[in-house]
Amino acid sequence: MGKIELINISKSFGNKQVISNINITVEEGSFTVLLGSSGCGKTTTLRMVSGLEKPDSGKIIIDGKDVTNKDSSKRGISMVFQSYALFPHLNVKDNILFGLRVRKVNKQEQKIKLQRVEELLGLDGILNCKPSQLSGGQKQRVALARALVAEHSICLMDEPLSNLDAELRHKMRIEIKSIQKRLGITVLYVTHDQIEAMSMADHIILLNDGKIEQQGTHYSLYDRPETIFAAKFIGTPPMNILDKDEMTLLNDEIMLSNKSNDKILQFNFLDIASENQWYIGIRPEDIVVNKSQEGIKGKIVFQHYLGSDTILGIQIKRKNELLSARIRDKNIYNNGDIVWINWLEENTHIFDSNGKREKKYNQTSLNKDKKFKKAS
Amino acid sequence: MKRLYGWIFVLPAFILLSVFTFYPIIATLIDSFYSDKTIFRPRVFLGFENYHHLLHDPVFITTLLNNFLFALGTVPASIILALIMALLVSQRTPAKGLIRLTYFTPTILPMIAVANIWLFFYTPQIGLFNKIIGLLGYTGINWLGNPSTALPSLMILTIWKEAGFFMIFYLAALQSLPKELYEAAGIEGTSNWSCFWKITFPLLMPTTFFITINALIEAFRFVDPIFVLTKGGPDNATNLLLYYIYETAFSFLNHSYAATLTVVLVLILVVLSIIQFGVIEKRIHYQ
Repeated sequence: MGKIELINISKSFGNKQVISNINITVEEGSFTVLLGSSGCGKTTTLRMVSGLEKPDSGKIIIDGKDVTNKDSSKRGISMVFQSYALFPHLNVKDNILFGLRVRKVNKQEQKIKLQRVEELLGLDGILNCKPSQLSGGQKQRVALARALVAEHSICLMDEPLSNLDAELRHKMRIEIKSIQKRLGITVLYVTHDQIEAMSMADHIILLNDGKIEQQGTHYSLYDRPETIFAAKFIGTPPMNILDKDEMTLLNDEIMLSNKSNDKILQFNFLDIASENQWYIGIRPEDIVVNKSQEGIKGKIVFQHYLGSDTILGIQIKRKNELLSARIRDKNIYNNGDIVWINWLEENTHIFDSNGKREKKYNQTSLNKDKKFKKAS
Repeated sequence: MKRLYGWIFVLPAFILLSVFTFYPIIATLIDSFYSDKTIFRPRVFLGFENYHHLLHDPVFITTLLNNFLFALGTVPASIILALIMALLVSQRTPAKGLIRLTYFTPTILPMIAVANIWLFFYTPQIGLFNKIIGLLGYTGINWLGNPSTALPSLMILTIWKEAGFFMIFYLAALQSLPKELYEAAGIEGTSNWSCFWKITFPLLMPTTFFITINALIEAFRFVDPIFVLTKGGPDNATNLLLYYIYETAFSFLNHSYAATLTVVLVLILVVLSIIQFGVIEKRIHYQ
């Protein structure tokens, strides 16, 4: 129980197309995250699953039944709202039991279910408080309790942690995930926070402008981003992207032109080279910074010390954006230092002119030679 | 020096309030313990004699009773009507703006104008109501001339005038209610009817309380249409406290007794205000 399928769903508000023909399958018992920046349609998608919005076209299927035109209450779902949506005039207990009372569940069962969520979320001592007397974290728990008390197999969550501070958010991430595992429910979770998505999701659906950009496990999204958008969206700092203008082709080699010191990538076949525009991407942690003149020459512009590591901002050409590199050493450079950056070729991501991953290159012709190429 | 500045800044307000509010209140209170000065008799201290007289004045008892009846008849009805109108126009109805304007129009009309309009509705032979009744084949009623219908007639006019005003408060309150609450309730399958009773109505309580007190105060300050429509008659059936004070002071020229009546009215208003400030400030604050 708890499988959700969205088939060819489109939705527009006025003239603005918010969702364009998307297909999503949320597996039973999975923790699926709809990830994307604001305005990408993720909340609209969630609201269509909940029945708070109707799609313009397409079907929504829950557990094999078409629920497209069914009321929210008939879909067997519960929902946690970003603002919690607790009833301010009711105490915690009445808030939690609101739905059960509307559904006229008998008193004995209400009591048992209340006790269950009370234990699950550690609500003892606050059952008689009004929402205004609770802290943000407690409100969040009550909102969760209210969603879970009905014991539906599907729980929809709309950015539930966005109003909490960083420490509490971290705690709640772990807690929500463990509750989901324990109860075996399907969670469809909306967030713009990629860390939240990476840490909680079994399956991530990355949305961009009403379309699915990429979906898969957190590993696949991070290690094999299918598009430049995905590459830049996931990971902090984002993946460094260099475009063709910053590189030159020489026979079967690509060079990053930087006057005297060039990084050379070798390709066995160069279909891609014939295209007008293409890009290469390197994750900041894949960049090796050295002073031994290997790779591309650059200047350190800023250093962000984060404790476990340091983010360096390195300028390799006067005009272009800064490259960021993540290094483990602390305090070994000064701003303005000249350094050389290099990376393993297997860590190079190549994207074509449309920003799509160049599969041929990345799958078959990557030079697996793990040695750094010497600067020519 | 600094102190002086403080006093200078407060001075304009202090003078205005003293002359037009504090002094009249105190003077009225003092007057109520004295008799009027006439050519034949000097002003004499009477103590509580005026107040004693009050208790045995059948007209005062009638006006006070009328006032309570008037409040009872107008306050709940206009509030319920206001709430219904607010609920209607807060939803997506066609020509919402026009309907809102229609509901609100009575509020912006001056009381005297309203009274004149309703005079044409209530007039025995040519009035709108009796015309309609006549068309249906019944004999009309002398709305304002009959002691049993005169006060209710004034009440209907008041409800018509006040409901639109109170609707604005409800409309503002309704718009501030978070939409998510209704979505959260909707997901549980709550019907519109129970949404109203379980969410809307309780969350509107602060507004309802505010409006109730204000409506009560307005009910005790009601006077203008009496001048136009009934002059307190027939047989004091529409004589309300404020009108009786006016008559006592300016028709019967009994200033000290008018002062006594005024003290009673002010006391009633003070009690209502204390309830409003004391209770509203403390109770029913949700967020």
